[in-house]
Amino acid sequence: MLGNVRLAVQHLSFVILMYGGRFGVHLGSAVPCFSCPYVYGCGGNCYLMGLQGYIGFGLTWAQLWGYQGLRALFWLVVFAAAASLLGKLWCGFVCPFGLVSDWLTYLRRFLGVASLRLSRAARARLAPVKYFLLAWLALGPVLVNLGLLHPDFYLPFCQICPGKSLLPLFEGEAKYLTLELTNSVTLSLSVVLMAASGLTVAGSFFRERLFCVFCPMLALFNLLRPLALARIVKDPGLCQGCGACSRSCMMDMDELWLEREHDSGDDGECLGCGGCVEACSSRGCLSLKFLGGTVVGSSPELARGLRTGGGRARG
Amino acid sequence: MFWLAAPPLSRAGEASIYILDLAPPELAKSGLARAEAGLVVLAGGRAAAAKASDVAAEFFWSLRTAYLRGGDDHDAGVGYYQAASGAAGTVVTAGGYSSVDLRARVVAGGGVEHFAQTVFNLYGREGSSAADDSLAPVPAPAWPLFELTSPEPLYWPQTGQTFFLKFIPGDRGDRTVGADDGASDHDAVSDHDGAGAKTIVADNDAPADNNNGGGPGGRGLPLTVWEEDSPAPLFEIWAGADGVYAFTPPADPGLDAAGATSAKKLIFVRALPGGGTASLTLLVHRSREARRDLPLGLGVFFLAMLGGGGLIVAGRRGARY
Repeated sequence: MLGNVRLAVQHLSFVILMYGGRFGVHLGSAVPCFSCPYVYGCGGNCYLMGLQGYIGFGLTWAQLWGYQGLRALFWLVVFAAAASLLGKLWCGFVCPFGLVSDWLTYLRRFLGVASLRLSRAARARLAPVKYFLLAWLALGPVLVNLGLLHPDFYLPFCQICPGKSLLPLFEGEAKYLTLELTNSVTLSLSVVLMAASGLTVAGSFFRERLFCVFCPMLALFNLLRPLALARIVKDPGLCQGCGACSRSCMMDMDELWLEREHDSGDDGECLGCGGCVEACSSRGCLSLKFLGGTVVGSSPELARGLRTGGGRARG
Repeated sequence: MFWLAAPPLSRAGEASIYILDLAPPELAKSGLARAEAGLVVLAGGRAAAAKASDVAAEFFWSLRTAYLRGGDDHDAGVGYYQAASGAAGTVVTAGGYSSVDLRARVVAGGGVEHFAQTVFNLYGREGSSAADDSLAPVPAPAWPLFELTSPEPLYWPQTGQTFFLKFIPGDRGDRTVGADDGASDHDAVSDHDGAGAKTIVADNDAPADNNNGGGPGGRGLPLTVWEEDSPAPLFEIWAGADGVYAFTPPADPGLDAAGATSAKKLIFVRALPGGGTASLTLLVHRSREARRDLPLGLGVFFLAMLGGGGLIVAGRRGARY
């Protein structure tokens, strides 16, 4: 049931965020997911671009206390509020790029191709990449402003983000699947972008949400996690240790399964998809909570619905 | 020659006050002060006003006025707003950007008039509440005017983009301009045989093939094209049979090597009867699209996709369904 709700919300979000501008909907410049501004007529702008832009505009001390600073602060507050409101549900339920990745997963399942699983050690090695990318997108514009980087490194993360090349395809625009031969910097960045895009498509086919492992937005969510109002919570005392939550996790997390002391369920790479809540047959062991109140709790009935095909099956 | 320079808009959306360089190059080079005007954006990106600074007496300018036009042709709110000379104006924010047509006039010694115009994207600040009503629209001045159009509406003027310039003499009669210019209050006299204007090809880095050889193919007076700080005009352009000058800025390796927001000023100058000039300054950026290579991009994309997929298939461990 939860999986079906998620699927419906994902597709509705995709339509709004990808095409909303065409019918007058625009959610501003602080959308906490990959709502790519390179998509003509999109319904909101990914905050990562805004963040780079505000840094890239080079706030001087005077500007910091003036309108420019206020504007940057305003969108930061809006982003923090939105990110806190739904927490990682933005990743699991809303992100258009995540849905595209999920489509590749559905295709793989349809073709009967085996999934690739990342071990805990592999995830541990890859996890810092998202923080590196977050640092890069924050530091790059500063270096450009200081004249230490070529101006074409402006928006340094967007230049290599696969969302920039792949999402515009859904409005018929292929011009970001190009190599830009203008100069060596644009050429290098576009080669990286094309390579990252190709690897993302291939990787997302074999492994659910592979790009999310590297996503700097997820890194931001992790930093803002103490503020999140929507969370997945575990009651360790009710856990039967069956491991269904781990097997259902699209990010291959087993931390939740092994957690025996704390109630936190959405650490690290968790995308807030709720798959674990749906898979768990121990009543009340796992729950999706908002402001402390349970929205959905695990139960035998919910888990049975998943097993009988009423929800998302992992594979 | 009198020319009007738009500011480099490398910080789009950030500032609402721009400094305009109104100094004729020959005066600037002689060490005289440069004149400036502050540009104040009004709400919605549809209007703006200029505040001229005091003009030094040694410029011998007896009059200077700047007008701004905001918005686009589809915008019912388009209008001219006279410079609030000496007043600070009200800084009102604007969402997005607007193509602005800025014009100015100076009267040099001897009463010779010079006109300057520039077209550029004007960015305002977001979150404005209302337009500044203190600046009432005034009728457009009957000055010589360049109408600048392009069949390729792009974000900002770029190399490789074709522009059409139509010269409208206003009430400064120009008997060499065709009646189809539409705004002339003088009869037209056709000097040429009506061949089409020559477009300067831009798809290479070579110097532009810069004119059509003295212009008998077109009619009217030629436009001389200057680049900022160039000691002499780069070339001339002649109008086609319809009185329209066609021009495609060629690729510029200097711009290509610089950042995407870098731009150069191209100045189109046309002589006026009585010794004056009318100029249009165009801020030209590098082409955003000309150097994109789709086949190469797709090649790298698919290579990476197949390579990555192949590596996974070859090296996968712990596969499960």
